[in-house]
Amino acid sequence: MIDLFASIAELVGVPLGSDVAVDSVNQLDSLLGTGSAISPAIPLVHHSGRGAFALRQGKWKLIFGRGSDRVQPLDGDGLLYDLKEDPAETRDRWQEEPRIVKDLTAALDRIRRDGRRFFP
Amino acid sequence: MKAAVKLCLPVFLVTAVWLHADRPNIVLIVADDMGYGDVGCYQPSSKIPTPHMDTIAREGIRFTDAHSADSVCTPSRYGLLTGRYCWRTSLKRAVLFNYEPPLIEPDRLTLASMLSRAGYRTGIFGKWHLGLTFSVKAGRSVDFDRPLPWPGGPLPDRAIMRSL
Repeated sequence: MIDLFASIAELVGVPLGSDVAVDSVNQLDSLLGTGSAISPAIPLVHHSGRGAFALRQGKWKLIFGRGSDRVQPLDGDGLLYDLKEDPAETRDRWQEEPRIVKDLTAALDRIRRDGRRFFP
Repeated sequence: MKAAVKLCLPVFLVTAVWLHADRPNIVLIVADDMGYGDVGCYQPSSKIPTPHMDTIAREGIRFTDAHSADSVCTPSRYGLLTGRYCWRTSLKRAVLFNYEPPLIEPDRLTLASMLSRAGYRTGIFGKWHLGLTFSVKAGRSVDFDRPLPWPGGPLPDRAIMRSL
């Protein structure tokens, strides 16, 4: 949904400045079915109605909160799932994968600062 | 090329019509509280017949891992119309009440103003829920050529809430 802006801009030939639509990544090829699938390398930010964040990057989903419904903002450990092996999100990997937790936390911080469109 | 971008996500309809035949018309249909299992193209045993949605899906592309910009209404709509996550605004959680000031900043480029620049005529029909002061005060049209949103989100006005 967040990517429709940049994709439609591409469709109609409007260049986007660096301060415009900072979270929108051009996915026009995917929408038109003319290119490869959406890159899993660009993290997708989820945000709950109560203000908690989660990040999807590749096979990982990091939830900065606890619980599966109306996630509260994080105070302490969050939840980490490997969606490839565990798409039902039954096994929390937060304690086992501190490096992934650190990397994804840094990725979210960077996106919050710079915008998702400029994620390297 | 016609109607190249079709998105099923009803209640909120954004349209952009190009005045010549060489560019696609763009129609976005956004639904509140529609589960992905409610439409036939995602759930064949759904109890709700959705033949037109199913046709759009059959003739277009069906995504199985695509997501709204937030889990609730106002911030998702903000994200759609600006290409920015709503948590970048003053709204950090939940949704707006009716008749709060517009959440979209006055100088912010929106999907509508961007398409206007590209020569499209734009319109919005149905639910808005991004701040409605413009509907009662002159001066702001929030970019659309035909700003005809239904004045209200799912929540009653604060004054009504207080009286309950």
